[in-house]
Amino acid sequence: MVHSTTGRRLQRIAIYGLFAVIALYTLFPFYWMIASSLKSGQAIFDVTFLPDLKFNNYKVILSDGVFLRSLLNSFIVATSVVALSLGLAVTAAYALGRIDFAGRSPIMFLFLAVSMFPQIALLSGLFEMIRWLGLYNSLGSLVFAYMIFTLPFNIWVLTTFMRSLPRQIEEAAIMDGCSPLRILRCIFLPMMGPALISTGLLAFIASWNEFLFALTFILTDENRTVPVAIGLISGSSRYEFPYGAIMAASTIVTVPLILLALLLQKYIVSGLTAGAVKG
Amino acid sequence: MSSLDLINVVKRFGELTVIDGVDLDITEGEFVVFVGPSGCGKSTLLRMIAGLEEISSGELRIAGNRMNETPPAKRNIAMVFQSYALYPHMNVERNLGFALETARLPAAEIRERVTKAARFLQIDHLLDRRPAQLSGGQQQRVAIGRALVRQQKLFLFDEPLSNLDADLRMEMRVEIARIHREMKATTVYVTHDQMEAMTLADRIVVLKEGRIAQAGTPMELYERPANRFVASFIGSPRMNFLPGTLTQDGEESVLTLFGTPHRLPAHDYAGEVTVGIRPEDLILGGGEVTLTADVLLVEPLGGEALVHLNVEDGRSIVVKVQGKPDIRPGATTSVGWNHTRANLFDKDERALSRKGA
Ligand SMILES: Nc1ncnc2c1ncn2[C@@H]1O[C@H](COP(=O)(O)OP(=O)(O)O)[C@@H](O)[C@H]1O
Ligand SMILES: [Mg+2]
Repeated sequence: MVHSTTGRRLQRIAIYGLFAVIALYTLFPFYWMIASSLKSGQAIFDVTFLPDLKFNNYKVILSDGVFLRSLLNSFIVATSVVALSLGLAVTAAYALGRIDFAGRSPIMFLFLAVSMFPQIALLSGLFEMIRWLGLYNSLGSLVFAYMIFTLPFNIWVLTTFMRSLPRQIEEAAIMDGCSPLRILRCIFLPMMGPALISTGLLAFIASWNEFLFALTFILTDENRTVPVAIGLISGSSRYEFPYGAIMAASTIVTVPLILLALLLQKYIVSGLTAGAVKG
Repeated sequence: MSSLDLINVVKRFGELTVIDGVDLDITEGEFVVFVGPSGCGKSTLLRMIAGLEEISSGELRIAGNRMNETPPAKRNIAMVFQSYALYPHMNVERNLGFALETARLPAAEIRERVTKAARFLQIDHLLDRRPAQLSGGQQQRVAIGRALVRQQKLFLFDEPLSNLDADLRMEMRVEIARIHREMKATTVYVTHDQMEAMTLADRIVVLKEGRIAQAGTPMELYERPANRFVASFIGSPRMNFLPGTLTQDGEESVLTLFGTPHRLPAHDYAGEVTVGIRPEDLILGGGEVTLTADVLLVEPLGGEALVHLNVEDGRSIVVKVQGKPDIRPGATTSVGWNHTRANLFDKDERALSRKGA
């Protein structure tokens, strides 16, 4: 069948072509960032696609105390947000997904609606709340602010996931003599592993990359998180803009996320599709 | 072993009454099967016994003690679910032992009981596997094993075989019968399959719309169905039904079918009736009451055959005969039955009894 094999070959070429375009489109900015970070001095303004493999920029940025401090701050904020929002979301999802009470759907709808507001709309209201709570210019203010958008999303995903877990498994556990807490701990949590990992990772990424709140609620350098710290990197004079250092900092910030995502990718996919596909 | 009593038990979901006053005494060691069409309330009734549904009114007693308010885990009940409900993240061994682990039994004893149950169910070579790595039949065995290790006095099964294919279903039916024979635990078993009910039960409870239509041994239900519903539900192929009228004539009754009178032993009833005869009780070319019929279709099943006939009025009936009948579609034949094999139902569909019987 000559016709069908050529047809299939063409089809395959088309698929790989499309794949290449998408890869170029999504990966080029990352490549450019890494390549630029490895050039030094004025070389950055030459358009060459091959990096120089000069590590000056990394040396500069890794000896910058403010940047290192901001990395630590970002890590503290992101892990606190993940831990708090998962802890709260799991318990809320158990109630919303498993216990019948009046007003359940309005609550779910409210969560969805809240998570749709643009950040800028929340800014001034949040600012007032944070001042009132005495959290201004502390990492707590960011944890508090980020939970506003990670929590509804996490609750929504975990509730959907919890509802998709077969009721009979819960009932089997009840017959086996389990308390609600033991059911949550020994049955539901392990079964929800993939969903927890994917929602946790998304919360981590969102907190790690957030800029607007971080710029608004933090006043001093020692409390900055990484995106703002990078934005505020400046050269030795007002006529010099340190592109190389910025690119090196951005690379350092992106690497943990990529490693995390690669490490957990198996769970991320199954976690995000589990609500849709019955398993 | 435990006895189980249901006293005027009712279940309501809001306005909807799903179980409408069920009275039933189950004795120690008995194997009782709840059977009925889908949606008649079998699972709900079973779940009320288990404690997974609250009882709206009435009383549930286990071994003579009121259980309405007792939580499921304290009722000494083991339950097998239709979907098996195995814990997907635990291997077979842990699935089997999980209830014992929850009850904080010593590890050595858990191990011993799990091993024993696994050997009994021939799943001891699967102990390290996850449920997803098992076939449907093996999962079913694990689900049963999980109930066995708890050594409870009362076993509940909710349609445990309905997800299996025909061969496995037969095999597991034999297995469940064996378990009951050896464990002698009181068992309540829910199914919509009358065949399963007939082969497993000491006593069958036929449910219809949340009420007991009839409770009795399989043979009682087969031989003397209390109403038309039970008559049509028990037996395969279904009982044939023909409309007629019953009149009194001195010491005898007269049954008029399609305009032809037939003399019967005396009944206490006159009026419209339905005559029910099982396919295996119909006789081609014979019987005390006979009708003429056209042959529609002959279905040979090997050792026996089903003959579909068209009697007057365009009504079709099915006759089960041994061997292969010497008869062809399109032919005209006569079909009949003997008085003792006919069931008469009054206009309220209740079975009529013969005078003095
Ligand atoms: N939680 C519930 N809420 C409302 N109605 C229910 C609930 N559970 C069962 N029902 C209704 O009760 C009836 C009996 O259900 P069920 O006991 O599952 O039937 P079966 O097991 O005999 O097929 C059905 O009409 C079903 O819709
Ligand atoms: Mg059911």
